[in-house]
Amino acid sequence: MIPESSKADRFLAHLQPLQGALEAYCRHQVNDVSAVEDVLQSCLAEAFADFHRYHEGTNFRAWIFRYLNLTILNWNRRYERCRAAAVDPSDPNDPVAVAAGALPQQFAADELTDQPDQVLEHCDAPLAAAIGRLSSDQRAVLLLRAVGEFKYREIATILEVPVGTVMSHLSRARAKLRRELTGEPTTAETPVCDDDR
Amino acid sequence: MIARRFDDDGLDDTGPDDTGPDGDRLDCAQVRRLRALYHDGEGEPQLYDRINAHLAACAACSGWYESQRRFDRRIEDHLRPPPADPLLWGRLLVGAGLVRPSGNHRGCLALLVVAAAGLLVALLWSLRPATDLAASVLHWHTRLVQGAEAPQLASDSDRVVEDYLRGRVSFPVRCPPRQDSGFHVTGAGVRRKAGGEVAYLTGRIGDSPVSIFIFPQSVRFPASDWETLDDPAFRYGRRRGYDLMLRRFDRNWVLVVGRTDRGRLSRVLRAYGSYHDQHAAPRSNARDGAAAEVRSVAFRPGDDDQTADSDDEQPPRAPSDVIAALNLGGCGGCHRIAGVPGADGQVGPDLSDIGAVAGQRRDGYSAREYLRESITAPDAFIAPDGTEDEYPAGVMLQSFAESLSGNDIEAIVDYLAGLGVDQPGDSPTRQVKLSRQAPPESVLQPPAELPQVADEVEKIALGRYLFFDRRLSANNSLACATCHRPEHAFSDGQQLSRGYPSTKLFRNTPSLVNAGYRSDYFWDGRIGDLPSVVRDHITEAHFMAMDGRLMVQRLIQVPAYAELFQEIYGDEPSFGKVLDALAAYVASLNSASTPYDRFLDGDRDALSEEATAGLALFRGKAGCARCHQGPLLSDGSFHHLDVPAVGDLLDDPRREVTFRRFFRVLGVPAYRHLDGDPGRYAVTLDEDDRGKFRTPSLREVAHTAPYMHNGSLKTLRQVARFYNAGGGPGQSADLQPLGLSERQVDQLVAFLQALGNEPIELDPPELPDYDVFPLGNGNDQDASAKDRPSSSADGSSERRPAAELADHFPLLAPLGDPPHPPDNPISDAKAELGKLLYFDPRMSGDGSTSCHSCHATSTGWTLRTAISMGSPGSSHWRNSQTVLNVAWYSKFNWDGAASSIEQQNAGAWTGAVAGNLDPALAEERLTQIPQYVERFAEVFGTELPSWDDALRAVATFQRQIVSRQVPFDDYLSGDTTAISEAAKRGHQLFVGKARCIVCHHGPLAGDDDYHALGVPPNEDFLDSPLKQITFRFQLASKGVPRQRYRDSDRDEGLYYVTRRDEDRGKFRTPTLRDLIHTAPYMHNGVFQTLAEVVEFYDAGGGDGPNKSPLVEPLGLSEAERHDLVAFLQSLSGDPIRIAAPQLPEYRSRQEQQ
Repeated sequence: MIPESSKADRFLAHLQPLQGALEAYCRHQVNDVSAVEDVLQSCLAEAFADFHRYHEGTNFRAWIFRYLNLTILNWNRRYERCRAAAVDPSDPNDPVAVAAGALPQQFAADELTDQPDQVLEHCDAPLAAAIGRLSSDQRAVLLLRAVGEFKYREIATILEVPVGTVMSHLSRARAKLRRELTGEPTTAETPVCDDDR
Repeated sequence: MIARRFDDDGLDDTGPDDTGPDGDRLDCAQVRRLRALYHDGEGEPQLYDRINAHLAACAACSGWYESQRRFDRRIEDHLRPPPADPLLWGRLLVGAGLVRPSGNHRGCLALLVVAAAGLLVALLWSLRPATDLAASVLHWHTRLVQGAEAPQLASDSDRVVEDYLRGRVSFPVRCPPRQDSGFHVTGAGVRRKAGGEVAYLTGRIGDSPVSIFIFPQSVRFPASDWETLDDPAFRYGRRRGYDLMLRRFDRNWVLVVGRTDRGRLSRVLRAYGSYHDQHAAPRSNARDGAAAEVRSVAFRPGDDDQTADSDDEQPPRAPSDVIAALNLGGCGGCHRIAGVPGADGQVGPDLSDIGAVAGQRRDGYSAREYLRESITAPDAFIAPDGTEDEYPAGVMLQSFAESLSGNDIEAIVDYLAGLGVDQPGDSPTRQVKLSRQAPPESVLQPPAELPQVADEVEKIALGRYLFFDRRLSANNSLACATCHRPEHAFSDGQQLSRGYPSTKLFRNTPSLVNAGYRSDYFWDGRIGDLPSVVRDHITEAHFMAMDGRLMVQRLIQVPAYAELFQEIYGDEPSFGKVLDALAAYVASLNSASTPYDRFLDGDRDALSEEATAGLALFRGKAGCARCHQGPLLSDGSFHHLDVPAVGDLLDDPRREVTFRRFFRVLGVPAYRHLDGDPGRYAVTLDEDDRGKFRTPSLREVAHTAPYMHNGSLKTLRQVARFYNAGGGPGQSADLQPLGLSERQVDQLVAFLQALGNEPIELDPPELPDYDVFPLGNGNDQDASAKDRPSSSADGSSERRPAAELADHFPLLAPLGDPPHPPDNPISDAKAELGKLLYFDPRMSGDGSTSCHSCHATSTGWTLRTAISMGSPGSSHWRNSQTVLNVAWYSKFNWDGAASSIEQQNAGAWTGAVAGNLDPALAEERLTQIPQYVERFAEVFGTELPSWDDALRAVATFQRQIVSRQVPFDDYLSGDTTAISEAAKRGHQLFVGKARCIVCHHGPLAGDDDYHALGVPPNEDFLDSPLKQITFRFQLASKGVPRQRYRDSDRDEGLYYVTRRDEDRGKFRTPTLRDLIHTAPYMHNGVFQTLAEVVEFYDAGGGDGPNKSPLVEPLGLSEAERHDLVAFLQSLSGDPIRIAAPQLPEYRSRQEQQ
């Protein structure tokens, strides 16, 4: 049954500019690659059913991402359970275990700093792998910041965690990526510049 | 994503706000630490200026920033979403039921193209005004002023407006308080503008419309467009005849627009962001945001607007938060307050214009200070214009400082200060819609070690509202969250719990985190299941002292609750469901995964080195894990540690009262001789258990200080040292000195701290208010008895001619000495003791209300309100009856439910809407007051005061309250000048034509019988939620079935006692002696004057079931009615007043038992 057109139209108008971001977020966050479409669809159905609770003029992006995040959590949990039952963790063919074992090509830190663009162009695959190895919490924050361009406060709302947690997840995620790609700890020594002496 | 650039347009450089707490200069380390904020465009604007300043000066840092930026950008570019896959989305939208499937995908694509085109147009449109922001702001302002555009929220409360906006924009928005700014807010909303969101507040200064616009810091206001003022923080501009004033504040630009002078505009800007105290708390926590989001989802302004009625005569209705606060205090029972439905009490002064005079009442006090003091300390200053007789000291309850929160008091003060000053704007009341979404705190997943609790999202959501609702306690002073505070991991941060007002608890408030996993609650494990624990808290005299039936009626009176219960349970609120929902919420309060859990999961970095060492000690040398084991880090058992005693535990008599009563009710033998907390022994009565307490869970332990059952150890370090020393001297838990070094103690503490996360801060949810449900709906089938022929005794008495009445019925006669029943003989000492008890507010549950509160000597031993006020937070449902001459009554209450004054007093002291006093608590209180102990011993010869003796004493005192000689008594004894000629004519009418004497005869001018007169309903019940609650509560507690009391639209009086249909609507005939002092009249106080009463009888009474045939039209002339009133007045003598006695004190703190 097709719902009354005005509600669907409004929902679609809101949704339209966000499709890319929702899809990308979902692709990164859903453990079971084949489930991306199902996750998105069930998220959309749920959000649309609750669309009357959404207030015109408020933050639709944060609103819909909350639904997406909760849907993904549920799917991942279900996936984890299936996987735990079906797959022997020591199975060498387990794709997750394989991915975790594959270390990225590492770059020297100074090379990165001097010629970042050149270096970075070569590191798409390691970067993707490194992002995949972030904890789910950290990845969620990083993605919401990068994919959704959300403010800390909005991220906190979407994930239902304190702002402080958002900030610490974000900085840990970035540090971890940096560490993995450069093979260096990122706690840069604090230099002392002239006028601070 | 590019780090936000802040162009230096000359606005950002100076101003008083620019100096942060750390001073102006940042060093390199700070700058690098702050990079994330800078990169992500978060943080205060001043921070950017300071970082930019540093980067400009420091090449090392700017290079570092640049390389970091490139790296982050690379990651972001990598993650940047590719264009959406149209085929995928076509399938999705069809699958989700949003668009119709089409034969091919072209339809979907076309739709997307159309939508995209529409979006582009909208985007362009929204960008257009960015070229001249000020012009667009002016355009919007004029539309608001002309009414072409209605604000999204209409409200005149700065708080409401702030709450509304908080959930809707991503930057902080405030509303300047009217008092300080002169800005009178009327509405608010959000606009999309300049590619971003703009919040606006609309309102006026004086009569001139003014709007405030709040922009995020990223918006640019070119300096060239603005004129600089003396105060560099402000910018001024003038466009199209409007004055504009701009200031950067916090992370916003604030722009004020109006046609008024600059001074007034800058005053608004100066006041912008100035807060009431309760707003000062930082709201930085994200949970706050999440809660606001839920609220914003749940709250629909304008949906259920109940605008004050069409009646133009009515003052505009007060904001709902004010009404809620006033209802909590029960203020309307005694005061008339404009704009508040049902607030028409006459016990205290009329407050309808109080704002106009409050400022001049007391030297050196502003209006608000005076009002505040009048609420919290009513007797500190008695207004001179109310005479001492009318509004004497000691009548107004002294407990509002305790029973109302600071917020409530401020809301009331705000409102009262505005009454009579200016016409409060029309503000629609808000009907909060409750969300069924699970609250944020319950979404926390329990750590892996703990099993998932049942998923009861909706019950949890409901339970959360109840958890924060103070209406669950008898006098509205406590919610669960009052003592189980989220920021303290749902404990209270106090050494000992506070308890219900005027009780004092003697144990530490335990945390509720992970309570769902336990099976032994309280420090002594006396209850094993969560719903029973909730019940104990709600009903116990030292917790919330609530009558469950009254609570249920309160919830039913809140439509949003009733709706939610219906949705979740398919039924209306009931006590069991409240327990179920609260238990579900409490069970949802899991500790989330902590550093310790992550450590156990294999993340070796989760614990610091220090904490890891602490963990080794915890499991090894320190031996903590012997008892703190398993997922909860508790063995669920009881141990005797001999924790340091709280030296003065029983020093405070009020605490000793609570202590003794507690163990008495638990059935502990020799409870009176306990000198310390016996712990588990009180439950098992096994000597081995004496002094044992439950092992608490250590999850989130860092936030639950102080520690131990009596809170005697203030910090974790003290706890670690206590164990290190081998526990207390008499412990039986086999603790040994541990020999830990100070360093190891530190490590242990570090580990304990890693057992929790950051404390959570929650904004209490927005709670729905009472609504009005006028009584009955006319469907009361059984009540159709009104159509049945009357079969009452009234009908069988033959109708005598008027001329014979005087002979048949005895005349009024002077009263003799009051009779005393044989089981309660009179003595002066007993009456004196009774007098003390009569005036003692400690004879009520919360120590606020004495007999004298509702039966005041200054107002004829009754109240001047139609309906008695009842206990704080509640209303009564009938007119308060006078105590005068009760010695001669054989039946009490309007429906004769009590047959002796002793019995009536027991009902008044214990009734949920009256004294709400627990007899055991009363006895323990009296025991702690040495003078009472002495007096009871003297009068009754007992060692300690008893409840029954207290009833006897106060009854004896009441029997002494006699109207001895009224003018008509003098007339009867031969003094023909004692009453006026009119009264003499009235006397003849009384015994003749008016037939009053048929029921009002004998010395008391009453017949001790019941009659139905068809008294019209009291309209107070139409719009007072509290009265409606009490009405239905009374019926429910008298055993009237649910369907019947819901349908019942009137008080059926005697029927509730006898359950005979022929008794419906009958009430006891009251005495006519000292009538003029006991206005208003009738069981519901519907008649204010005697003239109204006479008119009512003259017209043959009213209409109703079992209407007495004795009441029929009398055909009195106006002169005759006047004479009759004159006669009735002659039945009243001088008022009988008694000065309030000096009440005895609790034993002093030093005096030990």
